[in-house]
Amino acid sequence: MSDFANIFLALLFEATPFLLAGVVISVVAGPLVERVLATAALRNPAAAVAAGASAGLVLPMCDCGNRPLAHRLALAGRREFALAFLVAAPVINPIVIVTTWLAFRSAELVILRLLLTVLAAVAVAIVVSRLRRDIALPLDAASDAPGAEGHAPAGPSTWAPRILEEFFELFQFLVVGAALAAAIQVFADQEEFLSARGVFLSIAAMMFLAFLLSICSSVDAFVVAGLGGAIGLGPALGFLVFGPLVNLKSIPMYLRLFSGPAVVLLVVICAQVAFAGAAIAELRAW
Amino acid sequence: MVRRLAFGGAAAALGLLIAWRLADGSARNIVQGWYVPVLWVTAAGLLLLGAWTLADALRRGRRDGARPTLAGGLAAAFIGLPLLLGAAYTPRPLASTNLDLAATAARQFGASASAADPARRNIYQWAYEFETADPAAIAGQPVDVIGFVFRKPDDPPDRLRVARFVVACCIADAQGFTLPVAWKDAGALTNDQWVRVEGRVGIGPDGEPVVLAAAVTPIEAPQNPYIYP
Repeated sequence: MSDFANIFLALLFEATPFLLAGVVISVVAGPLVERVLATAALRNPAAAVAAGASAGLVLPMCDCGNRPLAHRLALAGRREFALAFLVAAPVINPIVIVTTWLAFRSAELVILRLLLTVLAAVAVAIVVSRLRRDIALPLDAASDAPGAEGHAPAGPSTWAPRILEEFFELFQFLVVGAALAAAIQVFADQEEFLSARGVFLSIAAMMFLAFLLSICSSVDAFVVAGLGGAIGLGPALGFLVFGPLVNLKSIPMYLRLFSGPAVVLLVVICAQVAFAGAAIAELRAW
Repeated sequence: MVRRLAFGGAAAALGLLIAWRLADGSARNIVQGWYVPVLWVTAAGLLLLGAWTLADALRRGRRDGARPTLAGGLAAAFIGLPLLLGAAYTPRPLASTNLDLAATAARQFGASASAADPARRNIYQWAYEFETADPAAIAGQPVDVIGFVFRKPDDPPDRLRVARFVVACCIADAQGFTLPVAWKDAGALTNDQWVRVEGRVGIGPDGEPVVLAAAVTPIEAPQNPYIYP
């Protein structure tokens, strides 16, 4: 039980700063980003996807931090940008690029990780943005009602309560995800996943392990680098591409922010891109 | 007002919890060293936001019409769980019970594990050398490392392992590394006792590298129990 408490608190302490930073940026800078996206150049869907997929280079946010802004922009109708940013930013950012390089010193692996993530981001943006129904769920419907406190005019004087409302709306789902991930870490045997044999099975096993472990994208490369000598390029890529996009810690938060069909499509597309890309890389390596 | 009071109070409580665990040093038992300033900023931010929101709610002084709901109760429980757990349980450093030697035997190393100067190598870097180098090439090199003791009940009385965890971000990604040590009084050492091991690399009976200790000195647990890759 103490191991569970240790890892649970570690995951929360690790994720809380980035979740708070993400919400602060969403509330404070969100309107500015919305205005930028309203400019003519970014109304074009292709330009919006490209901008969203590369926005992490100037807004380096991990998967806990980028969701509030992506959700806000999706609610504002900037679907293509929001979805591409949601999927790409946890990997397409300078911190992750540097840590992946430091862990592996392999330009091939770094480039493949970035390429597959961009591919997943573009695919998700193109497919999910075509859903006819709303893809983003409104947060705290009660406070959006006319006359409620949350409906006060936006501005610096209302930032603090709005930040906290949004933060705790997501924090409770972070708690659920962290508890699940901690339980898996304590009670599941990772060696079972590492002992999988065969290209496809080992890639699938590593993707599932990444899903269960829910390790932050900024350091997951160090973990993969240390997992074992039997892990090849493909399984490592499967872990590094899929894990930051879809993991046990993030699923509850995804489901609170986005509609069920949007989340299912996102998970399926990311899994397909990560699996196929990793398999091709592994077979090519042979 | 009630809703904002709750959020303001929860933010202040979470900020205080983080600040408390930073001040008593136990936060370092679960996160990387570079996280400490990040967590201080987070704690300060939560306290500021909490104070601002509480003051704003009291100033407005009107009800927001919110009634207790099942969803609200669940939310309060989920938000309250880490606050209660974090207050009741002091995070502890990973220890010998968390080591998995079977996994360690199959480990690869990050590029940072390589260090040319033997005198500056830590356990992680020595484990890399033990795993990858020709034992004859490193035999005789001086070793000076600190770590905690790990002994199994059936280990010979003159053998121990000195261990340390490598943590990249938080203990969710921790990996344990150990070095075999030959030391005449190993049987007198207890698991998780922190020691400084000084000696030289030798070659064991099966041709594997082993640290031939000249001195194993009990020391205080370091402020930072982990190695960062």
